[in-house]
Amino acid sequence: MTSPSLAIESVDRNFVAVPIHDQANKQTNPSISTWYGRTVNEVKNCAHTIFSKIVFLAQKVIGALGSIAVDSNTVAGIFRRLNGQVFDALQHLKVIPPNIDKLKNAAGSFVGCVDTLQVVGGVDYFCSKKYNADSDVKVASRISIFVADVAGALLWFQEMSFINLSKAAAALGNIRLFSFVPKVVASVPLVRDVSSLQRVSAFVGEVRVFGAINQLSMCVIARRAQTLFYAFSAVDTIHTISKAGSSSERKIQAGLDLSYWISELALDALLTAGMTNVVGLGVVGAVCITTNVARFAYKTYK
Amino acid sequence: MSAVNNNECNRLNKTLDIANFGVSTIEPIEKFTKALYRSIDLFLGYAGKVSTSFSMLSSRLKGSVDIIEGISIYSRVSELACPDEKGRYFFSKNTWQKCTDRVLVAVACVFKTINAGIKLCVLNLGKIASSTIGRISVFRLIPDCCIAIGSVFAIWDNKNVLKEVNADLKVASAKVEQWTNRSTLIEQVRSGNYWEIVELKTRYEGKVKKIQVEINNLDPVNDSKSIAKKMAILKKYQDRLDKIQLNDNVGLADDLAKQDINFKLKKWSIVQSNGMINKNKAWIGIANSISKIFIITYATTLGALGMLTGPYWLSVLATGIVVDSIGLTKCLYAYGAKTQRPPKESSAVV
Repeated sequence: MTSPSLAIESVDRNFVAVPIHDQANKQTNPSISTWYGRTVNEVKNCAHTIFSKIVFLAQKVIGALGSIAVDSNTVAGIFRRLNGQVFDALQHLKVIPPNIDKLKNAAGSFVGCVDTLQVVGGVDYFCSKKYNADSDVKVASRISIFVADVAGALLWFQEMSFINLSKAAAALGNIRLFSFVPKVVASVPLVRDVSSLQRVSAFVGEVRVFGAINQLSMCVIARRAQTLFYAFSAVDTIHTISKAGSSSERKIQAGLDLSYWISELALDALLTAGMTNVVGLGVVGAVCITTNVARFAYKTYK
Repeated sequence: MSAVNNNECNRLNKTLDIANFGVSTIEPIEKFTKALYRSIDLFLGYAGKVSTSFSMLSSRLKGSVDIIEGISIYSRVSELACPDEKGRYFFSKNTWQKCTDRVLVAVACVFKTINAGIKLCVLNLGKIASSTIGRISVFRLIPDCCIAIGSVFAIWDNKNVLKEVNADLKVASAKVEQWTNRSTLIEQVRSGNYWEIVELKTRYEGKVKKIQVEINNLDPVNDSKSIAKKMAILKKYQDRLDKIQLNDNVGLADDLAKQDINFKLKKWSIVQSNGMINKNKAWIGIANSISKIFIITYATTLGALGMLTGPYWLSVLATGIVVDSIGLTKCLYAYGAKTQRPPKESSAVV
C-alpha cells in the first residue's frame, strides 16, 4: 500500500490538473453550444416565418382592396350602404364628425353615376343573349335589376331637373289611344245612325289606356325592382347550393352570395317597415358591406 | 347575306362587351366622367349661360371623380406590392422604365387621395392644405409633376417595346407571305422552275451556314437539347440541298409539301395580329403620355402665371377632354384587343 504522497508521485507528470467544475464544462460544452446554436436558429426561423406570414396576409388584404377598388359595382354597393346607413349611425354615435356632407354628397353622386351607367350592362346582357347561359331565376334577377337601373337613372336625371317624370306620366296618362274610333264610326253612313254603336264608340274613344301610369311612382318601382333582384338572386344561390353537381368552391361562393342577398333583403324589409333606429340600420348596413366584400374577395381569390 | 349579318352581330356584341367593361371598371368611368364634366364646363364657359341641370350634372360628376381619386390608391399599391397569379412581382416582370413610371403614378395617387380627402372634408391638414407653390396648390402640383415625369419614362418604355414589336412584326409578315405563297412555290419547284430552285438553294445555303455558327456557339453539355433540335433542322436543309444538287425536283417539292401549310399560316397570322395589337397599344400609350405631359405643362404654366381664366381656361378644358378621351381609348383598347395564343407546334422537325 503506497502512501498518499507516493500515490501522487505516481501520477503522470504530463497530466495538467484541471479544476473539477471546468472538467465538467469540458464534457458538456459541445451540447450547450449546440443547444444555443439550435435555439438561435429556431428563433430566427420562427421570426422569419411570422414575418413571412404577416407579409403574406398584408399582401392578401392589399390585393383584395386593390381588386375591390377596380370593380365599380362593389365600390358603389359599399358607398350606397355607407351613405345610406353607416355614416348616419356613426354620426349618431359621434364617432365621426358631423360635417361630412361633402363626402356624403360625393358618395351619393358616385353611386348615382355608377347605377346609371349600369343600364349599359343590362343592354349588353340582353342584346348579346348572355341570358341563354343562365337559369330562369337568374334571368328574372337580371330583368329586375335592369328595371331598377333604368328607374334609378330616370330618378337621377329628374333630381337634376333634366326630365319631369310627373309631367311625362301625366302626358302619357292622358293619351287616348282609340280616339280615332268615334271618327271612323261617324264617317260610315249606315253605321253612324245606330245610337248604341255611337255610345260605345264614344266610350272607347275616351279610354285612357295608360292612365295607371299616373298613379305609379318611379321611386317605388326602383325600390321594388331592387327588392325583386335581391330575392331572385337569393333563390338562384339556394339552387346552386342544393344542386348535386356543384363543386365545393361554387357552393362556398353561393353561400357568401346568399349571405349578402339576405342582409340586403333584411335591410330592405327594415326600411319598408319604417324602422327608425339609426344605429340598428347602421349595423345592418355594415353587415351588408362586410358580406359584399367577402363574396367579392372570395370570387377574386379562390 | 347571313355571313354579313353574323359579322354585324359579332361587331355589335363586341362593342357592347367593351361598353360593359367600361361601365364595370373604375378607370374607364373616371376618364369618361372627367371628359363629360369638362365638356359641360367647356360648353357652359363658351356659351356663357348657366343651365341648372347641366351645372348640377357637372358638380355631381366632379364629386364622383373625387371619390374615385380617393380610392384609386388601393389599386396602385396592390399593383406594385402584390404578386400576380403566377407569383411574379411587378418589379421582376417589367422594365425599369415602366417600374419608375408606375411608382411615380402611385406617389401621385397618394397626393390625389390626400387632396380628395381635403376636398371632401375628411382630412384636416390645416395650413398645409392651403400651401401653394407659385399660386398652385402643393397637392395639385406634386402629383402633376410626378405624372409628367412618369409619362417620360412611359414613352421611353413604349419606344423600346415598339422597337421589339416592329422587329417581330417584320419576321411574322415575312413568314405569312412565305406560307401564303407556299403552294405556288411547291408547284413551281415540281415543274422545275430554274429561278425558284436557285433562289431556294441560295436561301438554304445561307440558313445552313447560320445554323452551323449557332451550333458552334452553344455549349455541348448545357445546351444539348437546343443542339439536337438545330442539328435536325440542319439535316433538313442539307437534305434539300442534296436534292437540288441531284435535280430531284419532285422529291424536293414533296419535302416542301410535308409541312402543314394551313397550320403555319394560321400560326404566323396570329403572331402578326398579336404584333399589330401590341404595336397599337404602344402607340396609344405614347400618345397618352405625350398628351399628359402637354396638358400638365400647359395648365401648370398658365396657373403659375395666373392666367387660368377666360379663353385660356377653355383651352385647358378642351385639351383635358382630348387627354381623357385618349386615356379612355387606351383602357378600352387594352380590354377589347386581346392577343391570342399561337397554336403550339409539335417538337418534330418536318
